[in-house]
Parts: sequence; C-alpha cells; structure tokens
Amino acid sequence: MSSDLRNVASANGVGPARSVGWWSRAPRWRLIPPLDTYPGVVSFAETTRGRIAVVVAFGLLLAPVQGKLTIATIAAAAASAYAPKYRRWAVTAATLIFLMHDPSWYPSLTALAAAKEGIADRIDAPTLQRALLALFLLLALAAIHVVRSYRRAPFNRPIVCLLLLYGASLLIAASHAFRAVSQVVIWGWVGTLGAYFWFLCYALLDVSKDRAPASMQLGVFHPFWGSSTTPIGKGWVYLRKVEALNAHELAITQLKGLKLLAWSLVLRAAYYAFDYASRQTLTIPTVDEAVVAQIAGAPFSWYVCWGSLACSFLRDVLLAAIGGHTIVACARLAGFRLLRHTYRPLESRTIAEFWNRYLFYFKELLVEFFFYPTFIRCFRRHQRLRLFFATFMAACVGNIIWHFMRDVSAVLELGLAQAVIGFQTFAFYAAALAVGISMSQLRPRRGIADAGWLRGKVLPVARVLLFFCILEVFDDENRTYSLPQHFALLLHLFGVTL
Amino acid sequence: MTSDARERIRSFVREQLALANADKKFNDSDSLFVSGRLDSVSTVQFVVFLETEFGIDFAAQGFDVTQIDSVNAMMSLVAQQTGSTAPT
Repeated sequence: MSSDLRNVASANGVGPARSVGWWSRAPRWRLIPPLDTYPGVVSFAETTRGRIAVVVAFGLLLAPVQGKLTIATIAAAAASAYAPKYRRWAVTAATLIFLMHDPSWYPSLTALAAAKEGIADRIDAPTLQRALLALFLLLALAAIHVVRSYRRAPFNRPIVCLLLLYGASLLIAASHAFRAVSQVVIWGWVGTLGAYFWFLCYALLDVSKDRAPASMQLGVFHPFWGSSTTPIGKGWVYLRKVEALNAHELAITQLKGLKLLAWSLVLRAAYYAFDYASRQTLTIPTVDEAVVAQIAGAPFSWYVCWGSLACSFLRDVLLAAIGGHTIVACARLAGFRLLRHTYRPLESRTIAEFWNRYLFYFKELLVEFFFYPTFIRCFRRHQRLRLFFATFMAACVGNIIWHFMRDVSAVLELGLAQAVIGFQTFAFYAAALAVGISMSQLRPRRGIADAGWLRGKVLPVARVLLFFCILEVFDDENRTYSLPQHFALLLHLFGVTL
Repeated sequence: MTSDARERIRSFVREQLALANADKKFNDSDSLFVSGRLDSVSTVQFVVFLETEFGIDFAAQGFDVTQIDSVNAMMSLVAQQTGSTAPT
C-alpha cells in the first residue's frame, strides 16, 4: 500500500506528523492565532476566569450559527467539560433533552407518509415521531443488553442483524401491506431506525468493551454537539479514549475547539462570497441545471459545464468543512479531543488521501463496518485482491447503503423499484470512487514527498482534484435522471455530442 | 521470544511512522491509531504484518483497531497467540 495513505495525523492536525517539505518549515502567517500553543493562554484557560472567558467567547462565536440553541449547547458542553466525574451523565442527559425537545434533525417520514395516505389531518406527526423515537431507544437498550449477554450467533454479528432488520422493515413499508395509520407508523419506524442506524451500530460494536450501563450508550445517539446520520465522535469507547483527562489537556482541547469554530466562521463567510460570485455574478449553473439543459437538448457551453463542476465540488468541500468544524468544535468544548472531520482536502496528493481528509468520520464508519470485516475474512491469500475487495465493499457497497438509508424518502415518494432504479447514477459514482481509491492504494508512490514542488505536489494535487471534479457529474442526488443522461454531460465536457 | 517479538513490532512501527512522515519517536504505550498518528486504513499494514509474522487469525477472533493501537497492545495479542505471558 502506498505510503501517502498513512497520514491521518497530519490530516487531522492533532499529532506531530506533518508534511516534511520546505513549506512546513517556513514561518506561516495565521489568520487565527494558535492559542493552544501559547503557554500563558493555556495556563489562563485552566483558571476559573479563563474558563468563563473561553465559554463566553465560544458562545459569541456559536450564536450566529446555532441561534436560540446556543446557550443550551454551551451549558451542556460546560457541564461535560467541568464535571468530568459526571461527564457521561451530563452528555446523556443533554442529548436526550435535545432529542425529545426537537427530534426533527432527520426528515419526518411520518408527515410524508400521512400526506401520501391522505390522513395528514388525522395524524400528529411530531408527536408520533417522538413516540417512535422513544420506542426506538427502548428497543436499542434491549438490543445492547442482548448483544452483551449472548455472544453466540446471530448476536455475534449485530451489524448484519441490524441490516436485515432495516431491510425487512423497509420491504414491509414499501409493500403497502398495511394502510392508513399502520402504514404511517411503519414508515415512521423506518425513518427513525435509518436515522439512528449507525449510532446503534457503534453502540453494539462497543458493548463488549464498555461495561458502563447500557443507557449511557444512548447519550451519544445524535449527541448534543451534533452529527448527521454519521456519528461524529463514533461511540463511547472512542470518546472515552479521546476525552481530556486533566485541566491542562482540557484547556488545550477547548482552545483548539475555539480556533476551529472561528475557522468555520471564516469558511462560512468565504462560502457565501463564493456562492454569490459563482451563482449571482458569474451565473454558473449547478450540475443539476447542467444535466437538465443537456437532457433538454440545449446544453451550456463545455467550459460553463466545467465551471459548474468545479464550483459544485468546491461548494461541497466548503459545506462539509463548515458543518464538520462546528460540530467538532462543540465536542472539543465538551472536553473531547476529537479529530477534525475535514482537514485540508484540497492538498491531497492521492485519491485515497483525499477520501481520508474530506469526511473523516464517514470514512471511519465505512472502514469499521465494511472494510475491516471484509479485509480480515476475504481473499487472505491474495493481498492485492484482498485490499481491492475490502475497499470496494466500503467505498462502493457501504457508501450506497448509507446513502440509500439517508434518502429513503425516495422509496416513499417513488416506490421501491423506481427508487432503486433511480440510484443507478449514484451506484456508478460509488463504484468509480471505489476503483479510484483502490488504484491509488495499490499504486506504489514512494518518494512522492521528495519529487519536487511540481511533480511532488502540484501535479498530484491537480490530478486528484480533476478526478473528483469529473466525479461530480455522477454525484447527483436527483433520482429521476438516468445514468446515460449523466454520461451525455460527461462526453459534452470533452466536446463529444451524442 | 517476547523481547524478539517486541523488537520486531517496534521496528515495524518505526518503518510505518517513517513512511507516514510522522514523528518517529514513540513509547510502547503510545496510541498509534486512536490518537490519529497513523491512518485507520494503514492498519491494513499492521494486520498483514501480525498475520504473517505471528500467525494471528483476526477472522477467528474478530478485529478491533484498539487491539493494535500500541506496541503493548500488539504484544498482548502476540502473547495470547503464543500462549506466553505478555511482558509489560
């Protein structure tokens, strides 16, 4: 495997590992001062007054983003940080209060299903969603208890069991075997199970290593610092390994969180400026608009389409960084030394490195639930095939499953068959991505750091960015355009018209 | 046997840290993966190393990155495999 895959320390800015080129030794101007490296600031942050200053500064930076939830988030984080003895209780209580107050962080399939069944006026969708969430949490506790107590088949493969449960629930919902209220409840269950699926996976994976009460595992089911359906911070076993253990570590962790939050605001401003310039000033279309124009027989010029891909790619990277930084910053304020979700992806010199730097916790999820299980079991005598197959299972199969679950409302809207067919373009995207990552892993690239500025840095980075820009053609969340229609846009980029 | 195994593991860790352009200094208890010092994908290198050098069968016993997170953790694995006592 290539050496440049092994850089997560540098990719997250937490370890001593950094690129060793001349650029890393040169003094760098920093927009945000490295507060966590100033001994005086760290010492101050360990005092009561310093802690108050850190929390207030954090709150001021978070308020424009979090709005009315700022005070609650800051209070929960401070409780977790400054009462380490009760940290798990504080996190669990805060998370459950946040969830019950507003469970709508994931789309409400209950409301959608009720509208579809024509009984929207008879169903109190938010209450039903809360009830289903409570039911799910109870069943999750039972599942944790069962997996902890019975270490034999099928409970020794809890993730496979969960996938089967989800698949069965979805099939029942999509089969229309039930009607009216029952159908709404089943869809609500599918939505809730899908939203918490990966959180429960981490909890079940952790039970053999974590003897704390099972109810504590629920404290990080969409924790109060935020997450998507990808658990940012994984489960408790991981969090316990990265929690700050003393006042000094806590001060450094919180200052890093403060810096990261400030950086996310800078990126947010950059995003708005970029979006305004590309959409309003330069009137560059989105990829979706470019596909629609292509289908309508009136495509944009090829160079406009290239601009559309580049802007879409940059937009995705900026949004991932902004969201991820805010979440990780809040977790750091709470005393968890979490690695960054996104770390300088545009500096990646291989596709695998980009994948590692772009969405760290999503990649970790795919690695832990798809890559490792495949790698340790399949093709053990054929090392290259073994690596390729495990990568394919993670970056393609796991990626598709994750996105299908996230976008399960498409099944409700279009029907199961049409939703699966509509996934063809994304399936191609995932397959191409898996092949790209595998090739980049298998290709020997020793000495890339010493190959000089042009061949060692500029060209490899340009190749990676070009690959992901082109891949944007197929990273389409619209499920109604076919794969050939996306290929038509791809060919148009190179001046070929069908 | 155990000191030889420990030295082979240390040597492999040094090699991997060098390839990653990471700081080559480490203690036997230092976290390699959870700390973010090495990539989770690079665990592949360690899995293959432990399989081929010490005959560890991860498929049979299950795999978790914390099992190989430090030299000491890897030594415990090797000790379980060989039936010897893990030195501290």
